[in-house]
Amino acid sequence: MKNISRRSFIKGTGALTSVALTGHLSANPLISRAIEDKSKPISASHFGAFRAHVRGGQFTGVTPFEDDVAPSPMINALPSRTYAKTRVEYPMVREGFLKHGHKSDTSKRGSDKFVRVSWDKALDLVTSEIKRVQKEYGYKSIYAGSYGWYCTGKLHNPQRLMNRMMKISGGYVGRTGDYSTAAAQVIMPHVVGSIEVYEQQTSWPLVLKHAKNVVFWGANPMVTCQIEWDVAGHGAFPYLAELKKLHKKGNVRVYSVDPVTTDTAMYFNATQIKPNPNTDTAMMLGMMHYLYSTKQYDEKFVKKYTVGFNKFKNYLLGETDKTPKTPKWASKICGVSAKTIENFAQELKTNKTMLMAGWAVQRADHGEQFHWMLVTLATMLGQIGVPGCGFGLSYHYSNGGTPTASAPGLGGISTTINSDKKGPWKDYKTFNIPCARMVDMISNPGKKIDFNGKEITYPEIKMVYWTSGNPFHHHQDRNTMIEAWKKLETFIVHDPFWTPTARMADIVLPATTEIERDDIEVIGDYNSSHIIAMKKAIQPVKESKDDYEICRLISKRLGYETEFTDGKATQMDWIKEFYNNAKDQASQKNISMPSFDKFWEKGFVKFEVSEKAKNFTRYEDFRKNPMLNPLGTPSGKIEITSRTIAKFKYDDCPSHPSWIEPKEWLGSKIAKKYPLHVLSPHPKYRLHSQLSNTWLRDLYEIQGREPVWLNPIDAKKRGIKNGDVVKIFNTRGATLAGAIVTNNVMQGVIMIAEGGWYDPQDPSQKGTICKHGDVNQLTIDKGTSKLAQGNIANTVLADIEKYTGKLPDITVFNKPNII
Amino acid sequence: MKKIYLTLLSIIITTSMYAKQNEVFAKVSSPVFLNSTLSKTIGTVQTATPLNIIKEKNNSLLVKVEGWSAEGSETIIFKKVGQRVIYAILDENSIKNIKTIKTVLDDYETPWNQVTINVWIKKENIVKDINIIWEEASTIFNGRCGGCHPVPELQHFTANQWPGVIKSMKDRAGLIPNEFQSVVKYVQNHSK
Repeated sequence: MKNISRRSFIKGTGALTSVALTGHLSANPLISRAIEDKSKPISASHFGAFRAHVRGGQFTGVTPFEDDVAPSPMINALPSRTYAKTRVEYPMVREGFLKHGHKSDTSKRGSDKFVRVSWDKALDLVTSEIKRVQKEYGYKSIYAGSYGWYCTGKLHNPQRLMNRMMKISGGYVGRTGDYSTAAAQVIMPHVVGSIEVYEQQTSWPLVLKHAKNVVFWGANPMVTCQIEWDVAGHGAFPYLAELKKLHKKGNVRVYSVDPVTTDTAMYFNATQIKPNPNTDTAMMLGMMHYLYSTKQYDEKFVKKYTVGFNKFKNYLLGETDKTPKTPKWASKICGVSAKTIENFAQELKTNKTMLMAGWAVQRADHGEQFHWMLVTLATMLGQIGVPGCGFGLSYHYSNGGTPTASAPGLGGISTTINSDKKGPWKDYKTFNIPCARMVDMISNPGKKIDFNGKEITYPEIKMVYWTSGNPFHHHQDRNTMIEAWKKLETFIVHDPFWTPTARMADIVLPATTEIERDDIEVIGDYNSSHIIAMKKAIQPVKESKDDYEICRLISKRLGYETEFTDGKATQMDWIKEFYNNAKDQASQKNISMPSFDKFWEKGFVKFEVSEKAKNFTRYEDFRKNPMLNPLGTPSGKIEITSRTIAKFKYDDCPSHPSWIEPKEWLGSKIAKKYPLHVLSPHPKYRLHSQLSNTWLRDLYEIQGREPVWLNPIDAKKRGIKNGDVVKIFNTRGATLAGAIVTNNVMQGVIMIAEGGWYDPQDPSQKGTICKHGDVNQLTIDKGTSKLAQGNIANTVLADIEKYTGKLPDITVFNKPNII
Repeated sequence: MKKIYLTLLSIIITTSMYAKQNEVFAKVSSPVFLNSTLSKTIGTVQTATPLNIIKEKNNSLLVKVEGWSAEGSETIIFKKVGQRVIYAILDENSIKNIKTIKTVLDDYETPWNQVTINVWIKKENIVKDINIIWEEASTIFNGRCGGCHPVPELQHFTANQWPGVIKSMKDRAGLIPNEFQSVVKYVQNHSK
């Protein structure tokens, strides 16, 4: 591997002098080794575990891991992604930044050319920028919240590695919460005493045994359970198949409450209820009014296990606002008939019910209200803590409800520094902002915001550092974001790919993907069925380096290499440590695990699932004795009215769950101008924006654009036909997309999945349209409320028209302009 | 000036040390007993529970546990009214040994008793400096929790909320029972 091939040498000398001068050419040979040189090392991804087909030193295919019960097609795109045109091959610096450093014209981000530099040059530049900003402005001027899914692996977690390095340099502004569940994870601790959204669910076997109604409320597990935070094990799919059988036999009724006919609704041929987007809380109020006024609600449960029902009841009956929340009242808001609302409530009350709620509904204005209202509905049904019944907020995530195996926990890289030195990190105190307020912070230094009972003052951010995440996909209101970014002096990115984010960077460091490095992971976030070896199958592509290595080299330049490496000589020492710590825990639980070497050779350890785990019921103990097993709320019970929240006196989050009009919805004035509600759920063949740069997009794109679903009536009004390219627009921005005209989406609603890469038509022009289908051209950058400050991606109106102009070429899947 | 300041400081420290000189803490979750022979256990005190030494005998200590218990869960002694940092969990039949000092109503009309109980504990299960427990717990908390996601600020959750949060993550974080308890006590005692 050390021989520099003639061709790469020629290419190297043809490059800029900044590279040639260093003489540091470590590019891989362009000619692969012999094709018969074959191996099948085991590895893993968010989409599942697999055996990599390696031929002649190249990653050419995958076979799903033999224990994966429902492999996702997404793993098939991994080999081609590895060598995609979008790979960042060399360290790159934006031309203006290379010339002028932090005094560059920052409006050129996204349109400037890139210049290839040597690793030494790039690392020196990054290090001196970190040092400069830390020294001149302090750690609160560096935002390193770096959010995103990256590649999986306990060691190569780029966010933790970069935070570790940044902490060593003196600290950073971090993030709290996430884009997925920000509202729910703040409101739920006030209501039920814990975050709920990332917690194991009542087991699927119990649901199948006991529930007669299974309700997917804004949840689409057939799509979203393809991926997991660790390694997807797909454990829920056999249970979903079993549920389908029971549903077909008529033993169980499956409902889908969603404005869209989701893949899950289609799979089950579910009974569908389609409320107007963002009006689910009104519909639930109608249901609860019915249950209350027909004296069917579980009064005993409410009395024994909840506090604050009376105050809520006064609101429900209209005693506080002269508006009884009757099914008729609800119908006017949510568009579902009063009769359907009543029948639905009746059915859920008459038979045993499990409410499986997704998260999309809380990514909306006042998103806190949705799950609070749902839990309140569940208390009136009175089945919380009953085997297979009640509510669950994580069945659609990471195969929740798949019983947990008796596996030890597997640790990973953290930001803990073991050192006696009084280094720059000693004065650092954790400072986090709610992650979706990032752009608001950059735009408005000094501004104070409320957040869950405390006040946060935004610092003035000079530098943003992002590792393997794509904020120029996941953040709302793209054009506002681009304007805010101009305020930054420096933006540094590590990424394997030329994502829309990497294209906006001043310095881009090429990172490896999981197939190019050794690591270790768990299969099944909840299921924990295996610990798996992720073996380095190929050499790093072109000049890419592992994030670990990049952060080590920067730490070395900062003078603290040992602090970064914790004195470990190799990456494998970390992996061994994680494994051996797990093995120690296992032995304390009387579970035997092989030695590290044996594990690594075999590639995995499998763990058994106990009967106890198969019979797990959330809230079982609480239901048995709420005094001995209190919840983590102030009262120890389910808080339908929260005194804590009442004390905050927030005008946008009252003390009990309520219907509050969102900023934009079909019932608002602005709907006259922009009459379509835009929903942006999780995509079918991507993990957010990951894999947008693979052939998988050929499975769903229309004329190279992200598909948008619209109802035939809405399409006809606008003269749009199936397969047309359309422009979706509102006051904030516009994007092209490919029309799919379908009854699967209700009238007045359009659906375009989040994660299509942002491809600006003319990046040098302010407010330029996206050619490809980035839904965040349209969305609003606002917090859910003063309580949680989550994003409100699903609260947005727009209009759509047939695109008649010359169709611009998609360029985001090519390399940017490189000198 | 400096000298005066230092003297004052040392007086303050000495005074507080005097007031708390009998105060020790449970090193880990430990069984407690009715008598010094440590033959009959009557429950457990949990990690980091403050204990006041009354007397010492061989390898055992008679200590006083002081806290609050709520109506309906008289066997659990908590730190404060409505603040569920568990100090001790006692057997059903040892309720008779609990002394009630006074009773108050919390915000939700639940009566809480201020209680004390004297129990025997193994000398090896106590520690004088609480920071030894906190340092160890902090390392586990930051190391294990920070392996997947940014570690939340300790003030992000309340003392009541924290146990549920840690419990939901404990398997993934690989916390064995003693680690789980010391982490819970650490975050609860440093929460908002």
